[in-house]
Amino acid sequence: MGFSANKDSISDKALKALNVSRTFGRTKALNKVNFEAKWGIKLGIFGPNGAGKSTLLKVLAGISTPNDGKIEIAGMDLKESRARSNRITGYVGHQPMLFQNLTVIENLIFFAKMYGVPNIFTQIESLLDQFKIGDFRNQRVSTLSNGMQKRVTIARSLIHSPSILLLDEPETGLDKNGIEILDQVIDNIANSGSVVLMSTHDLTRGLELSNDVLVINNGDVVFNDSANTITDLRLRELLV
Amino acid sequence: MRLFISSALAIYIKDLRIELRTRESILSILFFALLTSFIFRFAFDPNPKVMEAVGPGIVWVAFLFAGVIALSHSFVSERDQGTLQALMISPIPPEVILVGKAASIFTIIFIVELIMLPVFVILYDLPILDVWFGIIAFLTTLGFVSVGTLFSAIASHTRSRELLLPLLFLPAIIPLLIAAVASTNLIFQGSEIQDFSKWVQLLLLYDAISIVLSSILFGYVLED
Amino acid sequence: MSFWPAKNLNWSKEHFLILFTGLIGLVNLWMIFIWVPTERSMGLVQRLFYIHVPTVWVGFIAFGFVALASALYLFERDSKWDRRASATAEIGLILLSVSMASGAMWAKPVWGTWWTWDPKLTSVFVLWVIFIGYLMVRVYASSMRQAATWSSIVGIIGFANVPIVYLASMWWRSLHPELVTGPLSESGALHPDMRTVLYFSTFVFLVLFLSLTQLRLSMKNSEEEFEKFHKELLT
Repeated sequence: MGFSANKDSISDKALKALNVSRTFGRTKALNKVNFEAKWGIKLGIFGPNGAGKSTLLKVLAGISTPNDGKIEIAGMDLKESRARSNRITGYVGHQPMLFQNLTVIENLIFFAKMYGVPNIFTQIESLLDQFKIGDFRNQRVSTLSNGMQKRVTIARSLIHSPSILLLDEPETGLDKNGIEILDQVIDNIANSGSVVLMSTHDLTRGLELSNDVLVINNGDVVFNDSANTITDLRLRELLV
Repeated sequence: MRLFISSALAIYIKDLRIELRTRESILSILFFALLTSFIFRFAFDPNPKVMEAVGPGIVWVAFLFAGVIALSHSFVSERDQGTLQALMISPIPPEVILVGKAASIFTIIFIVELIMLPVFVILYDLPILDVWFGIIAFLTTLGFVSVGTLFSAIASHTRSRELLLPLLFLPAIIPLLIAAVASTNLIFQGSEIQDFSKWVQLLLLYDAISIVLSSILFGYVLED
Repeated sequence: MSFWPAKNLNWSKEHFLILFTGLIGLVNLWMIFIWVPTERSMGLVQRLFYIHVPTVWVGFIAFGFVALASALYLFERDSKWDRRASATAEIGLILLSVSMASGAMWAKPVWGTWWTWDPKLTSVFVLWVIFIGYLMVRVYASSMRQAATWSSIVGIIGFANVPIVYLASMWWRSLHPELVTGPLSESGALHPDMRTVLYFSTFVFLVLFLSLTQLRLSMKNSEEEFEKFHKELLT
């Protein structure tokens, strides 16, 4: 699959959030959030609804601009080097982010062009194969089931072999097979040196999958440590 | 530079491909332009002298209103599908998105304008099949599409986009309207290029300024 | 006077400004309506000229500043520029409205029509509509930052438009000279007394504009401080 290993990257930390705050009107979605993510790990982000998980991922992806604080992607300030950060970051949100009236393959080709991906067709074939969506390649996205659309969305986020993958509740809408594929993909990516940040509702699975854990409640970081220092029970307590 | 062109081109082709499949914009614009021109036919005294006087104005009002509709469609579906977000997180600069989208909107509107030409000949007997008119139409459409794409991106964020877009857009393109109507009038009267060259210059000036300003300002609209 | 709520107001400076504005305003009214000689052909209504012209000049200056402050806001992302821009836009719009209204009231008895499309009036009208758009876009935005960004864009494009509109309508006028007459069409030299009043009135409206803008800005600054305080309280 060829994910860029980053052992010799600019910085030893893949991602840093420094005092990041984001306010919407009167509500403070993120309140001076501080954390780091190292290369090659899977970071699980947990928190109750409205805690700020989605906002955090959007801010890290560059979709949302923080009111305060700094974000470093591979050592680069996100604000200064938007294009370079975007080149190595992949994001999956709640919306499909696909052109509904184009086919699967047209979508993938388009985004491959946006990222300047070399060997477009090899890359696309590989993704279609991995996500088992090859049969749908010439179908319009609007005709696919939610589960299949989600697979295409995730495949799209990987078109440029990102070193940093940001996933906002990626398992939503996926069927059992889809989730298996997703977990496998996440493992592969992390093993090749890239970092995966994913927020999830599924505490048990999430905890199993993660190397490190970040818990957010009401915009504050309430826990940030490796996964084996927290139990399922304790995690549930923190989410109340 | 190469990536700029190929990305803008990819966006352009993608938009046209979607339009070809759904025919969403082009049909409603064409319909609206036809409707506008019919209504005006009955709004004025059919006296040929009157028609001669108001002809250019009617043509341009019809084109402008059609343009507003095209522009309001352009960002709405992108926003709904989340694809605008997808473009934002890609490494391409916002100017590329502007150029690609403006080019596709321009193409759609220009095609509609071309289709409307024989309609105007039939309804109003206007000597509109003229190369110079084509050039004026090209420049004017270019101007209002570059400003309109910018404002459309802003308006598409809000729920009252049908109100906000015309409110922002129509005052901003008044110089275009003046230049277009004045030069069209001269063309219909059979004037030579020397007579309306200064209007062409005005259109070029407006286009240059609006393209530059829109490219610079578009990036700010995309930021959240 | 103890009804100014915010403590960041420089109490005495602003009171002095208001007092001064009020005084010269009164002097101005006297000069316009009593002191200056009546114009020969147009009569009493011509006195509106001394309101109409200064307000349009100050209106243009106001929007020039709005465009500048908008550009500075986008460049620096410092909300103080946005507050300055929006305060100026609000007061500028009021002055421009006064200008158009006084112009119309003057035009009707003198030229028989409320409005003409001569270049100056056309440019003023377009500017007026654009700045209504400037304020409206702020209403529809969903956050202060969005409001600031969008209105800055409108302000810049709007102001850049004005010289082009003026040029276009000037050229258009040369095509239809018989349709266009206006209270501002180039009249001959002004009587020196009239010129004095014109300049003085301009000065007065400038001061009025500055003091109203400063007051509005203070209000916005206080609102901003309150918001900050409120947010701190929430965390």
